[in-house]
Amino acid sequence: MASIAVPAHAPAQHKRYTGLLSWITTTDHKKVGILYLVTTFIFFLVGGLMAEVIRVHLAAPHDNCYPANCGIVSQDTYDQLFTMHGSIMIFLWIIPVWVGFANFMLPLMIGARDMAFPRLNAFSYWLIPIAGGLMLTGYFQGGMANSGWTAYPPLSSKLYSPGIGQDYWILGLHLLGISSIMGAVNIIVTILTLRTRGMTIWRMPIFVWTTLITAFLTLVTSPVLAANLAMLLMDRQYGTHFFTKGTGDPVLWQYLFWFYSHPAVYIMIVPGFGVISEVLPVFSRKPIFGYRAIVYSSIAIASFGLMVFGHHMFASTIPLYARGVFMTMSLIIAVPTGVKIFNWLGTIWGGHLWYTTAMLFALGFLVQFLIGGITGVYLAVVPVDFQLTDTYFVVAHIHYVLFGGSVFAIFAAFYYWFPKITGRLLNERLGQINFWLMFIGFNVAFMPQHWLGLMGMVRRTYAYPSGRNWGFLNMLSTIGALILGLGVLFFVINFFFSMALGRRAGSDPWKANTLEWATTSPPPAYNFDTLPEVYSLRPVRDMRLGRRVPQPNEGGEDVHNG
Amino acid sequence: MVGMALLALALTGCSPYPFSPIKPVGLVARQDDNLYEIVSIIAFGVFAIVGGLIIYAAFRYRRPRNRAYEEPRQVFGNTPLELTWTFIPILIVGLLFALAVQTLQATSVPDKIPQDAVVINVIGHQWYWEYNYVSDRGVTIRGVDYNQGPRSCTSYAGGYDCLNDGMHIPLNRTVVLRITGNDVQHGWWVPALAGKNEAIPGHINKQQFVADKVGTYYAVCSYFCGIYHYDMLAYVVVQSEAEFQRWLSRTQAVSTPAPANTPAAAATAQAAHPAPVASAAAGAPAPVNTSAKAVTFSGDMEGLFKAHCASCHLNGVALGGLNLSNYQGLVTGGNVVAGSVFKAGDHAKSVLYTIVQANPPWPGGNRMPLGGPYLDASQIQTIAAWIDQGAKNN
Repeated sequence: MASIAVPAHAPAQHKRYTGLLSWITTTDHKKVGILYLVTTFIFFLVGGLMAEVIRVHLAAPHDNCYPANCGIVSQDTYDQLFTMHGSIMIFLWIIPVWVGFANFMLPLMIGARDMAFPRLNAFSYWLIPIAGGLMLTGYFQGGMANSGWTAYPPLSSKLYSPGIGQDYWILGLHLLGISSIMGAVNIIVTILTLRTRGMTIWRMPIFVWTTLITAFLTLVTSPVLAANLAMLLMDRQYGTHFFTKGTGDPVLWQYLFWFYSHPAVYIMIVPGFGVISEVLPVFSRKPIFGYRAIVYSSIAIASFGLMVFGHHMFASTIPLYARGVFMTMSLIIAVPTGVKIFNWLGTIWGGHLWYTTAMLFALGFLVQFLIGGITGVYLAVVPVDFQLTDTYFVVAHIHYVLFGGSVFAIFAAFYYWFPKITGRLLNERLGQINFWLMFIGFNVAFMPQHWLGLMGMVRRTYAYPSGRNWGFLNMLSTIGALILGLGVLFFVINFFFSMALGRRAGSDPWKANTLEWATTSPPPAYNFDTLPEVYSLRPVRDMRLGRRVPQPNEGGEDVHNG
Repeated sequence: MVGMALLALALTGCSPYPFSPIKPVGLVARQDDNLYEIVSIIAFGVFAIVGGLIIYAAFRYRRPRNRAYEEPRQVFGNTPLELTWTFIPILIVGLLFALAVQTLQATSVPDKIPQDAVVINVIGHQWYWEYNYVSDRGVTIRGVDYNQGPRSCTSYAGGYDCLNDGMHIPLNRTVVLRITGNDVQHGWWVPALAGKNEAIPGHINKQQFVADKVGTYYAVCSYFCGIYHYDMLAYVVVQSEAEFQRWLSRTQAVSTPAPANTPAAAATAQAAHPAPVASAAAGAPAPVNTSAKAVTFSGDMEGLFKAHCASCHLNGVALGGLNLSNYQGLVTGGNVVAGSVFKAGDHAKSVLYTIVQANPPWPGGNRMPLGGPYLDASQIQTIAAWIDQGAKNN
């Protein structure tokens, strides 16, 4: 662009930095978004490495290892590994990576020049590496947190977990909560106030909708987790007794923890619904099937999601009638979830499916999320849950939802939006290898765990005896996990390869629908030369077709008149 | 996916419960399992239909060659279809709800305990289970299950202590378990008999079932409870009524009845546990000469702790709440033995001394350092000498 003459009296604080300093000082939503994506992906690799160590350790049975150590890691290290694996994957990877995508894409998708609060945005990013570093610091000071990512007291109290790693875990999570809340406020305000002309609420891309819903969910639940963490910290450091039996109650933690952590599952999966609802239509060359149904079912899932947390406590201590209520809500939530899956099926039905890597990941998501949803119904039915909870069945279930679901959606998003973010396409051949390794590895790793759980293998177990015949399925699971890891490695290779040698993308390589494809790749700092005007749900398609008047049969205004 | 289903069938053989490898032997577990089978049939059906449609669509609707960006017919939705796939799931979950409520009613624990029921308090400890058989005379048998070591019962004033003898229950009689945790949260799970009940400090979860097949069944701690969680195994022995009575008469107290114990009191009774479980077997320790040489805390004891106890009780780690990094830590003690781990002047009554012997009594019954190598005679004598010389912080 043409250089702009700067008046001699220009204020000094407007000085532009370059290089590393530009990344540290940036408030540009796109740069902040990239910082989010890169940082959280590094945490994904760290957490994934921990998972591989856990799986290799569990590959073979061990007899008589009590009370010494056996396998490749010590007992205490193992506890730290699964605690931090869970904590990192949930709080430092899936939750913030969606904020990263939202940061980069939201203003582009709604036709804005930046987020509503750019500095708050940068601040909420910078809390993340600090929090993650803090949680990992325990490693150098006698050990990281080792009471599980759920950190139930009394095990997480000073008495039973005296190490400072647990305190670092609490403080790190606190910072992440603050970051989430600020991010949510920023997202809500941006979406509600900065939409371009013609971008009515019923013309918003579904990813924008789901991000908005997720932000509200975050805003409602995160403060509860913050209060819970504050109480645990006070119990540990200042001798209060919130979670001590008698004066307090350890079960209080469970209620408050799950009031956040069950909706957190939806905070992790609902943006994934959004991505799938962007990717499937583009690569089927059809509009999304039942736009309003998908939006309403997302709202329904998020709302019901606030009222199902008690199903984590069926085997704990809640009254019978409460079990009934939570079971009812947990079963009902299967209905809007089913609606979504059928709508996605309707989207690809009769389409012209273009098998890019992003599309493959989206279809992989469909199948795996279906399985995760179905096993969720098992766990919602109280008497069945009594047998299944706390076993590897639950481990398999959460991985089908959060890895087979959320992470596959994240990878779909990486392949779909990488050209917009970097200006280059990810290599498709490497991408196909990446997908198939991950798809096969994932299913080989986690499908057998359903049966391991039913055979009596409880989660978080350090070793299991050879007499139970669990060795084969565990070995299978480990082999799957290694294939999965190899798949992720191919993504990293693809990333570096394509950054250097990838094909130039142009502004709209997929012939897509939404506004982020209306500007160059990567977009300029100010996003759009002139802010575009929107006439339908698929503004970029309108531009391709030269339509410049409102399209009554598109988008939410009148859904069903194809 | 189909392969996995076949694998499941292969694993479970041709039992009447094709989907679940659990072999239920009690009414409660059987009810739970029946429901599991029904849910599985529905689940596999739904998966086959929906998954099949997705896979069909994925193959059927591939993009026509050389027509890269051509659009098919643009369909925005179909209201009757969408209503159909909203209401069918509602019917399915309605059915599941009705079945679940039915099962819950059939398996729920009534407030009133049946007359002939065997009532056992089950108490989770780090890392073993304790059973208290409750009768009108109070707790008559205490059992602990360390998943190791000899099986034996020894008498004490109020009844019998059993070590690693398992939980014995009679066939075809109602068993009521009152489950709680002593230190942290544990989970009581005998897959063959019933579902899980978590053992939570300050709460009592009740479980009621009838076992209808003789045998020995695994119990595992289902909730993560610290580093030896995986080894917190136990077993339940289901015996015929006659054999159960024989076991009872072999072990039950004939002496003075113990004071009546409420479950809550029993749950917290550990600190006041009256008798060392295996003291009879341990034998009297050899007499030691403890006045020969002056032993100091800073000169001798700290070095000993650093060399042998560091991985669990030093450097910011304090398993069981016991911190041996300074003198104050010894005085405070851990959470298993409340208070000082020594009795100045009397090494025989000091936990610090007894716990490093072979077959130590309470607490825990595990010789320290856990898993060895154990202290040699001269090191044990050093500890005894330090205690007998007044256990000073010198």
